[in-house]
This record gives sequence, C-alpha cells and structure tokens, in this order.
Amino acid sequence: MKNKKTFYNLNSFSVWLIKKVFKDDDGVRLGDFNEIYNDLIEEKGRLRARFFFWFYVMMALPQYLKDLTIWSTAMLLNYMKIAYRNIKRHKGYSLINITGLAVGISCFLLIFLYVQNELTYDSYHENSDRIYRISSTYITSGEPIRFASSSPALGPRLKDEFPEVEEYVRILRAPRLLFRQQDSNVSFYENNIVVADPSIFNVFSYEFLQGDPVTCLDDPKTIVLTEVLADKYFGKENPMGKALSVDGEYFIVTGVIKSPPQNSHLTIEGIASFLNIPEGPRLYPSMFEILGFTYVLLPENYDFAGFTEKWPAFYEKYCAEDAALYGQVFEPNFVKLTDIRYGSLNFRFDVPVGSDLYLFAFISIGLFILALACINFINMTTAQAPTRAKEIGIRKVLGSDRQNLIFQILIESYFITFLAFASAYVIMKLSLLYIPIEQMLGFNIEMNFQENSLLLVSTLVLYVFISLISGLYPAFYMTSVLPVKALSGTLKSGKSGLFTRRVLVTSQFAISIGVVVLMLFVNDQVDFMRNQNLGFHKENIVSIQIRDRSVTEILPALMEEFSKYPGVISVTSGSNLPGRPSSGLYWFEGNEGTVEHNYSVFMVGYDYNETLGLEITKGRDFDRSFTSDTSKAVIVNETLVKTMKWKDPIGKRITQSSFQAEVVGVVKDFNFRSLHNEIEPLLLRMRRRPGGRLIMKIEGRNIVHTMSLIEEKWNSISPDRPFEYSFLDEEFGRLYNEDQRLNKLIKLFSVICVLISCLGVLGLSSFNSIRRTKEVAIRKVHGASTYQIVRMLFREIFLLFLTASLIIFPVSLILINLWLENFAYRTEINLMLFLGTVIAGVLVALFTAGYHSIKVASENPVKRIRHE
Amino acid sequence: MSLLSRTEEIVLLTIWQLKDNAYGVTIADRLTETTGKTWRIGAIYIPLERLEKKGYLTSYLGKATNKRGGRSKRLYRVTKIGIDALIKTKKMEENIWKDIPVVSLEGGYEK
Repeated sequence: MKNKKTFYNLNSFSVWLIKKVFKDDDGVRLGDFNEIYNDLIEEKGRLRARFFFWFYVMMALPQYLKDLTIWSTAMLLNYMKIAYRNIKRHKGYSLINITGLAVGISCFLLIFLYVQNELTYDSYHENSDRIYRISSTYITSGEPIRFASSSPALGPRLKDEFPEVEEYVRILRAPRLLFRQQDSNVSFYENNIVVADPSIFNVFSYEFLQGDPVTCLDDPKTIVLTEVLADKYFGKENPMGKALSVDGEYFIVTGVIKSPPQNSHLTIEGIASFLNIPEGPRLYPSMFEILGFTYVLLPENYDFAGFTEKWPAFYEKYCAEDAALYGQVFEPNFVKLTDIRYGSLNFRFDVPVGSDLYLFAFISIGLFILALACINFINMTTAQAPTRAKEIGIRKVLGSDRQNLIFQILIESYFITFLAFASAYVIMKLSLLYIPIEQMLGFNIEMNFQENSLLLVSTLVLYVFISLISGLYPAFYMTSVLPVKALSGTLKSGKSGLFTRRVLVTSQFAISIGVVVLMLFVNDQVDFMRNQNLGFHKENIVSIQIRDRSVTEILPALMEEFSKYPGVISVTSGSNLPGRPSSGLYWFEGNEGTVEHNYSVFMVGYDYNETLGLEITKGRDFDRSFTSDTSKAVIVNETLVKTMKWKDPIGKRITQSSFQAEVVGVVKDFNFRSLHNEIEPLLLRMRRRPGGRLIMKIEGRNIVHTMSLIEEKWNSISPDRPFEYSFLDEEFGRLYNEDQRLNKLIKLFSVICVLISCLGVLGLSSFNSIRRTKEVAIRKVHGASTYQIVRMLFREIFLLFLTASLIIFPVSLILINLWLENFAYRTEINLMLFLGTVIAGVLVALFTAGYHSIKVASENPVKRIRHE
Repeated sequence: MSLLSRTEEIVLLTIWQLKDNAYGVTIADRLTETTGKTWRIGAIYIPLERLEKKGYLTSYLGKATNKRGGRSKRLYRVTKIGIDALIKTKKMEENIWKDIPVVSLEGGYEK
C-alpha cells in the first residue's frame, strides 16, 4: 500500500442528497459516506467506485428510513393492535364503556349545537355588528317604561340630523293575513309577514334568488316572498309578476329571497312596503306614538359619546313640544342586533326573548352527562388493572420504561374514544331521524362539519380532552405495577386505587341523584302552574277573531243568536283575553291629586266578566241599563285599588285625553299574565262598539257538536275566510311553552344520566365481584351464607349512595330555590320527593349490582380456592 | 436499568471491542463481519442515537481527515451504565442457559 494516498471528495449533489436524507447536522455522517467512498475507490478503482457507491447509498436508504419510521409508526401500530385485542377480549366491558361514552358525547354535542344556535342569533347578517335597534323609554312621574318599538318618525329624522346614521329601516309585523293564490282556492293565514322600508335590504342581508333588491318594494302593492312561501302558493311556477291576494287586496310578487336562518329574532317570510301603513299613523310626527321597530346602521365600533352630545339639540327640535303635551320624557335606547335575543332586556311588546337561565341549565346538563361518561370510563379502565397487571409486568421486564407504557395506555384511550365518537355520530344521526329532538329543542339541527368550523374544532378538542382525561389517571395508576409482584400473581389493587374509585362512583351517584331530583321539582312546578286556579274560567272558552266587516255589522244580533245555541253558556266580546293584555297611559285621581300611570288594560264588551267567571267584589259590573258605561265607566282590580291606596274606589276618576270615566266596580284579582309575574294593576273598560274577538263559554259535553254548529253559522256570514278559533286554555298554556319544553328535555336527559350511571354500576360491580371471589370463597368455607355475602357486597354501594345523597341534598336545594325565584307563584319544596328519589336510587343501584353479586356469592367456593 | 435487547447487546459489545476506534463506518463493518448480515451505515445511526439517549453510550467528535473530505468523525464509547447493563444481561442469560447443554437442544424434542 502506498503511504500517500489521494483522497477524493463527493460531488455537491451527493453531499446535498446525503445531508437531506440522513439528517446530518454536524457533518459526521457526510464524513462517513466520504470515507466509504474512498474505501471503495481503493477497492474497486476510481471508475467503478462511483457505481458501487451509489448502490450502497440506495441500499442504505431504506434501512435508515425503516429504522426512523419504525420507531414511531411501528410502536404506534403495535399499541393499536394491542388496544384492539384488549377490546375484543373484554367485549362486554368495552361495549359498556364505549356506549356510555358515545351517549355522553352525543348529548353533549346536541346541546352544544343548540347553545351555539341560540348564542349566534342574528349574526347571519353581514352588518350584524353595526345594526342597532332603537327602543323607546318613556319616563313619567318617575317610573320609566321601556318599549321595544319606537315612533315611525324617529328613523328618518335621525338619518337627516346625524351623519353617522348611515341608514335606517322601520319594520312592522303585520297581524295574521289571509293569503290566497289567485287561480286556486289555496288559502292560508300567514303569521310572519312584515312591512318595511325598502332600505331593509341595505341594512339586513337577504339573498335574492329572483328580483332586484333596489326596486322591488318601490310600489306599495308589491311583496317579496321567501322561497318557502313562493313554493307554497306557486309551486313549480315562477311567482315573479304574479298576483297574490292578501287580505282581499292584490299584491304583485317582485322578489324571491332565500329563507333566512332559523336563529333570527324576527321570523320573516314575506316583506311588503312600509307604505302600506295608512298615512295617519305612518306619518304621525310625534315621538310619543310608537309603531313597529326601527333599526339603524351605524359605523363600526361606534362611540355613543358623540351621539349623546348632539342629542339635546335634536330633542329640543323634535321632541320638546310633545314632551310637554304628554307630560313625559323620551329617551332612545340603542340595542345591538345581536343582543336582542339574550340581552335580558325586558322591553314591552318585544319579540320572544331567550332565557339565560334555561341556557345555563342546558349547558350544565351537557357537562354533567359528559362528566358521568368520563368517570365511567376511568373507573372501568382502572378496574381492569389487576387483569392487565401481568401484561404490564412482562412488558416492563422486557425493557419498556414507564413512559412508553403510559404512552401505550394513552393510545388505547385514544382508540376507544375514537370508537366512541364514531358511535356517537351514528347515534346522533339515528336519533335525529327517530326522535323528534328538533321539535323539542325548537330548531333544525345541522351537523355540518365543513361549514360549522366551531363544531369541527370543538369536536377535535373534545376528543383530545376526553382521551387525555380518561386516559391519564388509569395510565399512571396501572403502570405503577412492580413486575415481580405482578408475575407471581399475588397482586392486590392498592388502597389508593380503591379510594379514588370510590370517590368517582360517589360523584356519579351524586350527579344522577341531583339531576333526577331537579327534574322532579321542575315537573312539580310546571304541573302546579298548569293546574293553578287563576281566578278565571280557563276551560272551554272559545275565542274567534272578528275581522270581517260583514261580521262586525251584525255582531250584537249574532251574539244574541249564539247565546241561544244549546251548549253555549255565555257570549261576550272584547279585544283582550288573559295572556294578551293591552296597556295604556291614564291619569288617576289619587289621594293627593292626579297621578299618571301606565297600567294594563282590557277592552271588553258586555257580559265579559260573567263569561270569564270574574268576580265583582265591590260596586257593579258593566250594565246595559247604564248607557254611559261604554264611554264613562271603568272597572279596576283589587291590586290597582291597593296600589292607589284608595279607601273607597267607587267614583274615583280616571282619564285619558278625551276619555273621562269613573270607577264603577272592583273585580277580584285574577292572573291575566303568566304565573311568572305577580298580579299587576288592571283596568277594564268598554269598547265603544263591540268587536275584537267573539268570546264564548261552552259546555264541556259535546264540544265538537257545539263547535260545528258555530262554524256553520260563521261560515254562512263570512264565507271568504277560513273559520279560525282557539281555546283559551291552550293559548294560555302557550305562555308556559318554554317551561314545558324544558321539562320534557330535562326528563329525557335525566333518564340518560341514570342510564349511564347504571352502566357504571354494572361494570364496576362485575369487576368488584371478580376481584373479591377469593375472599368470598374463603368466607363461605367458614360458614357464611349466600345472603350474608350478598349483604356484604351491597354494603359498599349502599354507603357510597348515602354519602352522595348527603352531599347533593343541600346543593340541589339551593339550585331549586334559585330557579323558583323566576316565578311569582310556586309550589312548596317537597322533601318527600328527595327522599323518594334516594330510596328509588338505592334500589336501582342494588338491583343493577345484584346480578353479579348474587352470582359470585352463590358460587361453589371450592372452585376459587383450588388455584392456590 | 433494564435488560438489553439482542441488537442493543451486539452493538454495545462491538463498540466495546473497537476501543477507541468506534465510529460509524468501523462499527458497521465489524457488525457485518460478526453477524453475517450486511449492516449498512444507514442502519446504524438510529440505534446509536437510541443507545446514547438511554445513557449506554457517550460520544465525542474526533479528528477530521482528508479521507472524510475534511469532516470529523463521531467516536462512541460504552458508559458505565452500558457496561452494567451488559453484565446484567450476560448474567441473566447464563442463568437461563444453566443446565441446558447445547447438545441436548440439538437433539430436538424426542424422549
């Protein structure tokens, strides 16, 4: 061998490639390759060396890469294989585990979607963060009254005087209108029609499928429909340019818009021009006469300080005069569009507003159910520890360090959670088909992962979260096994594991008991409200709206005729019914001069009090023999008397501009609002002419027959309109719609809670009994009877249950009280309910655990001890 | 300290034998000789990394040579922990193989 050798270097391409593939940070590996190259040159000569070198590199590559990925993937795959095998080996337990988790996840996701829907009300509009609704506050003799609506004069004037008001739009909800398709007899009452300024399309975002947003409402006799309505009346035909009869007048369809999303505070299915409102009320200049909602478009992040500065000048110019006349001060309130639903604003005449309380209840339930499912999972996995001790022991002996083992258990946890999520998806799809959940929750549930990015992200986060939470504790606990002990088979689960498991089970019991108890209380309260004596006749009161002039003209004679029908007990008329009061501003003769108040008002006809069973306690009812009653008489309720501190109410004067009247009677208090509210002061006065609704009390027997007679007569007078009536108890019941819905849902969810807890008890009891078989066998040999054994096994569950009950008792009391504060009228808190639940719960738990306990207790003890 | 896997044992022993000359190329060559399987350089890097991470090896940069195009080599040495692990593994093996003459193994299962 020569002493001096020439050495060659690799070309730059090779250098680059090797660096890239073999991750060479310090040049060492490159050096190795260089060396190999030179060795090859020596061996094979310069020319062939290159070829061999590349061959070498080619062969070295896959080995390297294999090693690299083997470390991560192979281990992963191995763990997954083990996880899969474990699940198969314990099919029963795995099923319980996965089912429990899946149910928990489905419930949680459903609730999540619901809450998301609620909290994003109205956010669909592009300008949603710039749109404000102007509500009106009127301050009179110290008490401010807030209305959701405002004067029609406000919007245009604001736009004129304040440059920051980019646009305004006024929207008024139309009363129920009869729509009829021209060519057919298809006719329906439509509830969700509004009239609005054409600027509505500049402020709110509506997608036009046909028609031009700029010009569609130019003509007052035009209307824009949603695709749903267009389909309803025109089917496959193109509705553009066609005429639709609305309450007798013809409107031309000039636009079709895509149906807006369900979560809008104002449900709109058709838009007509604001010009349809008669000139009188529409152009009335006073700021003190409200009509409809006004919305304005302001710049982003508008600072209201600027507005407050300029307001006094505006007020002076447009409001001051009328303010003096009305004796009130007017203040506008700007409410952000997205705050309308959940801002807890409490305006009069507002759209239905969401209840924070119920939202909170739902979120809590969702979290509880999820917690229950996770606790189950943790318990079940840790309970498997003794069984897997051998496997873990061997792995440790073979060289796994604890970190790897923890990783392995975590992978199993991820695997099972993944299965749970997949099952949850299936469960959700199926239940949406077969259970009317959408109806119960009140909206269309869409599980769209592409559009709903929040849903996607939350699901992923939830997945990781659950896997970790449910996996970490078991992972740490199970891997703390000492190999020698595990292999020799004398492993007992440590004391610490037992305690944690007990804590977890107790919390499960506590949550379930709590939910069931709360459910029962809510049920109680809802029933109570339904059956409460409200102070008026709720049953069998029919009301028919009077719209046709043909009816109004002959109303007195019609009422006379109806009253003679068999089955009709009493007939009256009026604009208002319990549940639908009006209100008005009146001046009252007080003890120290006249005071002004805005109280609820009922506009009624003769015999109203009789028909509704309202009792007159002082003075007299409205009477036909007193002709001045229609214009000069007022009846007040007891609360009004108390509020006014009148010693002798009869004769006190009540006035409102041209209306000058005296109190002629006092009516006993009755609930004209829902039981959420205390009884407020109320005025009853007569309409000048009978109208509004026709109200009849009919007999409870043969209702169908009576109604068909009435329908016949009605149709003969008013053939153009469908006969529409409603029963008071149903309508009044709708005030509790939300409570009843909550009731139903809580029932459903509490059943689920109980089920998941039972699954937990089932799984645990089987593990427990297996664990204690040897102990049981020894006891039996020493003479214990099956009964005694069973009692011993039961004792643990019983004690845990008792502890849970003691903890949850005060908590649930507090929660119930909080909820009941919502109601002016409530049931008593029935402690028996709580007791009953606890007892029932213990029985259920014992029953669930019973199967395994009895099986173990009655086993032949010899079988178990033989292994020693 | 746990027991070593077969591969780990072989690699450590090879490095031990190579004394102060244990680096990528030499380790790979010696392994190929001993085991009869071709160990290419690429197959060595990761096991070396793992062993170093576990504390059985320590490494240091050596001299740069022309043969390597001016780049240094990384030399490996077995640590005390590594040696202990080797001894432990050897002892366990001896334990298991006690009283089992290789001859009788070759005879198979009959008897």
